[in-house]
Amino acid sequence: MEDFAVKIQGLTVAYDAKPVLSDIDLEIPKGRLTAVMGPNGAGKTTLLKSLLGLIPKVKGEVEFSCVRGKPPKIGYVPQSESIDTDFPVTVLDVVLMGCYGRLGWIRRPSKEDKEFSMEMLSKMKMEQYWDRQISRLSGGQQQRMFIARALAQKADIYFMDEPFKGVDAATEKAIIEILKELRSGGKTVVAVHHDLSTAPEYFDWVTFINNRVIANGPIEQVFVGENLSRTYKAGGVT
Amino acid sequence: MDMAIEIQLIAALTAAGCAIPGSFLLLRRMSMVSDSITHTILLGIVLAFFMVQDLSSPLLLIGAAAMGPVTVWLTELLVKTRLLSEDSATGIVFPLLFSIAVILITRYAGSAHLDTDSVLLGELVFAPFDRLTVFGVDIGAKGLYLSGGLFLLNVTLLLIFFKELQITSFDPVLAAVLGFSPTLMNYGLMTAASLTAVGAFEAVGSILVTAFMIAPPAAAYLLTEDLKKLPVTAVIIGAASGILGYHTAVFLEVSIAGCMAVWTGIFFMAAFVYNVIKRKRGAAAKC
Amino acid sequence: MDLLDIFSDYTVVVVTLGSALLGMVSGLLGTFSVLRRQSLIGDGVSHSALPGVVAAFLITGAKNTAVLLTGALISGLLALLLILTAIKHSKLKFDAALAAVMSSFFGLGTVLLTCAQKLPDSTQAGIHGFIYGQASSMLLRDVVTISVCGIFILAVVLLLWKELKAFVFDRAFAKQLGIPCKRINLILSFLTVLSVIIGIQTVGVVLMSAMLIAPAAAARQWCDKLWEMAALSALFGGISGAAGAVIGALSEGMPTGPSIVITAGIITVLSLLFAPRRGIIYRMMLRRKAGEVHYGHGD
Repeated sequence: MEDFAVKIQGLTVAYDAKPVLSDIDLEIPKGRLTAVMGPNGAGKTTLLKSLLGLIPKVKGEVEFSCVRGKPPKIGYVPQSESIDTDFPVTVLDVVLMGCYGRLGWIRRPSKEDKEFSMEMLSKMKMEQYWDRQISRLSGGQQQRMFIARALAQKADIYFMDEPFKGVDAATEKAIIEILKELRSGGKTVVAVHHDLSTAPEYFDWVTFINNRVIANGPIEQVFVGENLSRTYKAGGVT
Repeated sequence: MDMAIEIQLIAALTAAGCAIPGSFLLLRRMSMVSDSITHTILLGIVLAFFMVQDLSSPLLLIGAAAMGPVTVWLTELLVKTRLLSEDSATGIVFPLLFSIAVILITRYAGSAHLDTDSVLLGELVFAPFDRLTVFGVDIGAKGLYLSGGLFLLNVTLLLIFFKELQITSFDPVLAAVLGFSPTLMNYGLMTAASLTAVGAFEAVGSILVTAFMIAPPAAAYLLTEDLKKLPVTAVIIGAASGILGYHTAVFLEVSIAGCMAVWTGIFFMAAFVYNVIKRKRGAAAKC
Repeated sequence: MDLLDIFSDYTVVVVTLGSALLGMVSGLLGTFSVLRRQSLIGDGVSHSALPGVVAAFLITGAKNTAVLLTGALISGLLALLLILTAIKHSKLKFDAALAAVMSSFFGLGTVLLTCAQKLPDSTQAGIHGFIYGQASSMLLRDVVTISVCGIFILAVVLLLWKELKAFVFDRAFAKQLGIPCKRINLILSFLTVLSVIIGIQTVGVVLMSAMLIAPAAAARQWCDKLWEMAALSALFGGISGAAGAVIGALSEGMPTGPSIVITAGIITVLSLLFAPRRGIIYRMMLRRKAGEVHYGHGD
């Protein structure tokens, strides 16, 4: 019986009359690398945003299990395309933002925060780019920077939106390393993932979503033809 | 103090004060919101006037300043319906509010000489004549204290809330996850921008406030990639536009505020040209 | 004056006709601006037109509409060109370039205005009418000018309909089809500037953006096809123009420009609320029905 990191009951999210997510009952296990998969428009990013508290729900309950008696810290890795890369910040500036949660309002980042951020950058093999404006990075480098930022958050649960999308082989390897490290540290990772061919290799748990939960469980058991066809059936999402 | 110096100080401080909230409006793709609120200010003034029936009441300024957040709130309301884009909503809300203001003025306040032109167009030349007296002592032009005070307020807010402004402008999703309310910051910024715009319209008229809120930050945006340097550069360009604008206007015998705005445009174009040359050279160097 | 009286009044008919035509033209062009997410271009161009208007007056000494409009047109086009160049060759975004250029142009306009005011035969009415609109002082000659421009715009739009449609919806695809996108962009910009310039006369600089946006935004709620949206938008614009002009004539002290804008605004709000499928009230009723189906069991 898995410990859960997030328990979702009856979650329904709708922008209009037609819900994007209907009656989601889901337990996301703790300490596992979970892939959230489904066709376009299935509601994967909506699920993520809903769990992050960014979109109001029509109904349902979301419960985060506590870590060391406190509500868990939540890390977030966006899709690089959703970020304005012309913004006048450097790579270090971005990673440093991960520390802001611990600072709260008004307090400034300290030297230790800066050093810690540089450490996280080195972990993602990005330390030599620390003072580069972020539009001067490749897609893979930007992705590594955002993961470094999430690491700087010292989170317990990491939500990632398509972390492997459009990255080069070196970045892919680096990300897998980090995910494995996080898992060994008992952290939970929930990632929206698009690539069916790599999912069984990178993740150990999968949730198939297509407006509803199609299947949820360890990847060896759940990643099978029947679930795949039910999730990705042609014309599945209107 | 010499009148000429007073006017230049007010001009520089007004433009510099606008540049600070303007920098963040620009970064948040809200540049046209500054144009929007400078027009809806009129409605705030009119409504406040109807309440107190007194043209010199400070409530008028408060009403004007309150219209900034109200305008943004109405715009967001429309955007939330998901039937209109952000820019469409902006371009409908402010003309509607402005229309209501003009109708109210024409129909009901005609006798009170609510001079809409002075709200919209302003004139710095008269600034030194409006003195501030404390305990019977003339301590300078009111405009000086207004623009100076607003400038200091903006600088203070910038220093205190720099990282909050940075993160809510760059990645509002992360900001929300980390516990910084992007909505709160947004309305805070709008309130500061509104207050600054209201303070500025006395000197330069509300329509030109956009020039000082956006053009110097736009120039700075093209000149620096460091968020810490951006508002500073914008402030310097704003102040320079103020002073150069004054001298040009005096020389040509034309509107000071207009010349100031033209100078912001000149700096903007200069920054653009410089930026293009730098990029071309940078690209050439790579070959 | 009651309704029957006003339609026998020559001035009122002229103003109503002119305003309706202006509304139709801005409604038509507004469709493209709104779909291209460049809604505020009307606001930008109208502010940028001021120096052109004043310069035309200063250079020619004439105050007739055609001359001033030409000046406005040149000024507006120049500003638009600067904006498009700024976006293309730097990291500046559309809204920032728009705001920076239009406000400094307007500043230039006020400078030129103070020059003009020193001349013996100029009046303050110039900028006043420019900012607030001067529909009520429209002459038949002006209506003719507007009609000619309007017909010209309509002709170009009809001629280039296929290209415009492709360009607006999917520029990359249009390029693949061999459509000269740069040229279409310029033509569209020119038409937009033209319609804004003639629109300013009715509603003035400040309110112009609403005339370009509101009818199109309203039409969008009812139509999915481009030609339907354009036609309905023109209709809404025309109705707003006519209604506003009539209201202005019927009651003392109701300024025409704002009346037009408020009419357009009411049409938009009603469309947002009541249009089928997209309308808010409609969606609320649908949601309630969906709720009954979804949550009916158990709750």
